[in-house]
Amino acid sequence: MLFTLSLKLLWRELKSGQLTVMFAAIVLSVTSVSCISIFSDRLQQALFLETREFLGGDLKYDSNEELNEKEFEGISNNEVNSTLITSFASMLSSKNRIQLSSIKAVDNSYPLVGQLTLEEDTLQNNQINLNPKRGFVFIDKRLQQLLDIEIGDSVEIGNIELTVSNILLAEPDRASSSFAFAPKAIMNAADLPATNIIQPGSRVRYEYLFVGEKEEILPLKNKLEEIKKAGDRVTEVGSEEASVGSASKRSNNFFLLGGVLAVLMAAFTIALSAQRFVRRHSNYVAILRSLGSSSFEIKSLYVLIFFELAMISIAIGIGIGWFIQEFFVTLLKDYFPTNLPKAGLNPLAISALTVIICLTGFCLPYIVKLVNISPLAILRKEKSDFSFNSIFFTLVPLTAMFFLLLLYTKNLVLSSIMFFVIIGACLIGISIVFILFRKNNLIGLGAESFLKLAWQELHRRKYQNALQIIAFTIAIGLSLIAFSIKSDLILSWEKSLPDDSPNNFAINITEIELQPISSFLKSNDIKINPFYPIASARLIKDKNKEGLEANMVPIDRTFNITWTTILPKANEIVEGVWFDDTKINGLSVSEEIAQRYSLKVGDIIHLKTAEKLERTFIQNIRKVNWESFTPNFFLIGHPSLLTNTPSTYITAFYVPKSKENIVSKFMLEFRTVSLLSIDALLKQVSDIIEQVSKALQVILTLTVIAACLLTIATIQDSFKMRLHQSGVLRTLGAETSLLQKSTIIEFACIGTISGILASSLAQACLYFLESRIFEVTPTIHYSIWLLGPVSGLLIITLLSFFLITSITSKTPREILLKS
Amino acid sequence: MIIRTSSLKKEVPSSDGSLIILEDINLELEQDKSLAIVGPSGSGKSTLLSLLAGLDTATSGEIYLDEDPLHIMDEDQRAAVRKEKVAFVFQSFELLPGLNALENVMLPAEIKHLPHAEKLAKEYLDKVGLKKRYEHYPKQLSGGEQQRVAIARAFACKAKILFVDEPTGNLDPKTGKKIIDLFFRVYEESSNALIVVTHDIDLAQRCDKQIELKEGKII
Repeated sequence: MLFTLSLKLLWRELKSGQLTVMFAAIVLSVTSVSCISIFSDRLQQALFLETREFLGGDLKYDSNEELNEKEFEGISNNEVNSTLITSFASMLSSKNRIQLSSIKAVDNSYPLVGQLTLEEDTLQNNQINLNPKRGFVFIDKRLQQLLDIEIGDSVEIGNIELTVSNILLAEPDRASSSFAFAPKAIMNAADLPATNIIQPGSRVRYEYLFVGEKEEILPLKNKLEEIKKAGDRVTEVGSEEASVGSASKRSNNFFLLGGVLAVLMAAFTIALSAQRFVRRHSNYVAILRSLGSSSFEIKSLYVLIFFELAMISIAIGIGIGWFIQEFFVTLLKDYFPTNLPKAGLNPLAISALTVIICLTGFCLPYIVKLVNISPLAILRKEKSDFSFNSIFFTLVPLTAMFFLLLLYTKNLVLSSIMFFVIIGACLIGISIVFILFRKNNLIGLGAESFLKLAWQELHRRKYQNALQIIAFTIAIGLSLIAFSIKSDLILSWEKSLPDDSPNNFAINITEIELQPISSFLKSNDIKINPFYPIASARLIKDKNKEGLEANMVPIDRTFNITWTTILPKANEIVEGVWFDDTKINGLSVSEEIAQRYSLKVGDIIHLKTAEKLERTFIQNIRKVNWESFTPNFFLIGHPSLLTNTPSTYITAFYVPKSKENIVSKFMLEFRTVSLLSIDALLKQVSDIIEQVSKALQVILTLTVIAACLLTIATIQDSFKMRLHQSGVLRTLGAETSLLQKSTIIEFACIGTISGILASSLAQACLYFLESRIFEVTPTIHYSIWLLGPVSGLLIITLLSFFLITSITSKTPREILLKS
Repeated sequence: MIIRTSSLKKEVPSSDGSLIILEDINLELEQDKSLAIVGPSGSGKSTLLSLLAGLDTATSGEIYLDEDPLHIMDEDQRAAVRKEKVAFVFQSFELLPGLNALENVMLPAEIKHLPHAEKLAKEYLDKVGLKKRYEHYPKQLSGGEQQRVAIARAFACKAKILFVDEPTGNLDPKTGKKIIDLFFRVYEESSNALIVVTHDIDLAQRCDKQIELKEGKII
């Protein structure tokens, strides 16, 4: 019976339009959450698969030395498949040409995940996922061109000749080789001993890849960590990300943020609508209680109503959310490595949880109040009993708000920043209203003139106005944040990727090639960037230095070091000072290295190169923008430390699409130089930015709709209270213009104050988001300082004009009856 | 004549098409006279009062208030007439909760731009016995006190005609009687016309004239 009654009441509420705003707010929050969480879930799954393929397995052990039999037996496990890739750089020669190449020798288990993609015209066959058989070699297109050979031709590797059987188009484990920049060849590991290439002291990387269930991989990882030697690395899937992964992760941050803003505003709308619902339903409750219904029955009735409302909203919201995320997928499908997997149940759970948190935090407290109110008080219309001023009505929604932030951002820092900035803005808003409209000495309503009436109303209603200003500030402020994320942040992301970002890296340049390469680039009208010398160096912390802690991480890693007196672009000194030729200089280390090895400015360090061991010190710590697509280094030394150190050079340059043939000419002219083209990667990242921007427009639209709902709910609530006053004033003969003008002036003030506060809120939030989350330089967003007050003034004034006109168009009797 | 109507009709839309609330209402009231409108619930008494006061519009017919043709006026013109010539006392008091007693009584004087609104309001609050309640807000006053504030507000209007809708409807009989006595005491000091809608026979009998409505018609 209760169920039928609850359905009847819900149907009547929906039909009469009384629950429209709340219903729309719940549907909107579910839509935002479901579309973002379904999309993000599918994207995460796809990224995991891509990362696994990029790594070549679930776990990688990377070493300069091959594991001996005992060590390998120690880690062997029947449940885990493994393969060994031996990578090295060597010269490959055809009849007429030789070329420095990156060679991978693979065993028969290779590849463990993903597949080798080979050109169809082959000797072996045109299937994929094959290994080169003994006596054969796969080479990539670039190597084929450089060696000027065809399939079936022979190439010489060390002491043996191998037949080119296939042209390699793509391979998994792209993260595997440190020689990956050179043209590539893959041979069978069984042929390797005969080549005689690998000798003691040869620079070879041994990469052991493992695939297995998570519970098998974890102990294996621990064992590998135990046997790990200096310079070895253990990498688990998920700990490494491609640039595309980073771009996707950042776009995911944008989506989540946009989504949470929409949900927050929907939540506030729900709270306002719930208050109106409770006021409206007080008579039902009084009558039901007078007729003998128990508290339990009444509670059950209202819980059922909101449960039914939640179910309908979830179904509709998820339906709309699904269509929107399909739109996102269509926009971005070209940039995913594979078709996106289907979403799991997680997004559904998050959507349901959102509705539960929204209704529990923003609606339930009011329902509890409704159920517990005295029927006598309701029937006597003791309105004081409907005050929602207790701490209960503040704490519960605030807690819910924090949980919502935490649920979506999964980031305590970001959640706390947003939470406290919003609370701070609210407190500032209240203080400003109370300071501006503190008690005045005027008596009366001020109905003599519209200006006086507006002024008096601003003073008299300062509590309600403060609440309205908070709601408007949140609505406008969060919309401005969404707008800025869409425009300014995306722009700053784009700026980090200028049109002339270097798209080719030249590595292995010898000193005598520096001048010819510069001349070559100059003659082809290509901008010349700095050439950085590179050498291998090892850092040893000076244990004699006083104050060295016993548990300090030893620096046992080999680094590529460069030396220069000019701070490279995309580098910023965060501690210490850059080199100064007038003083004694030392080493510059990146933030990451300083953090990982607990290095501080002034620490004494031994720098060991092939030539010498130099005692020096950490002179400064740099912040490096690793996404700048320019050569970047963990270690930079002052040239005085590394004089006469044998080195090769690296540089990067931009080749426009119209001059693509220069790349081939370069490779033919400088055969020992390795050229790494990152054109495809750059295009992929910039395309993602463009598509993310389109998808964000959809999120922005949802956020703005949520803001509109919140604004409408707030202003409706306010006009509900003004209805009675308008009716009395009209009855007493007040003209339409008096009511309209005073209301417009009053709301213009409220709108402008809200707009200014909203701009401050948005600027503060954006500062933290930019500096902490998106890692771009925080800026002053001038556009929001104009947009905030102007949109506040126009939107709130226009809305108030429509609402007051809807009141003044009625006869006083209609108004009084309605109020 | 302060009030004159001719063939007044009020019809409202309903689920069955339309519902006639009032039909063929013809009445006249001279200045300084009082009229009681009585009748059972739903007979159209309050609707008639609203039409006469210019708070609502008739479907057809004519209404003249102090020779102003309300039936052809727009809302702002009717508001101007109400401001100059009309005062009200409602069953539910219709005080503004955000204003104290003094400010509520000052309201019509403010709208009329009368000088010394505060002095005038205090004078009438004193007359209704609320001298010590100037600063009190409606929720701090009893029902009877709220109705006294409403009466003070009505008389402070200095209107030509007073419209009173069930003034004791929300009060207990004892308080109701006190309020009526007070009302007529203040009323007799003024030279206003008065139209009262009431169920209260005693109250109706204190008026110069009575009409009875039944199913929207004067009987």
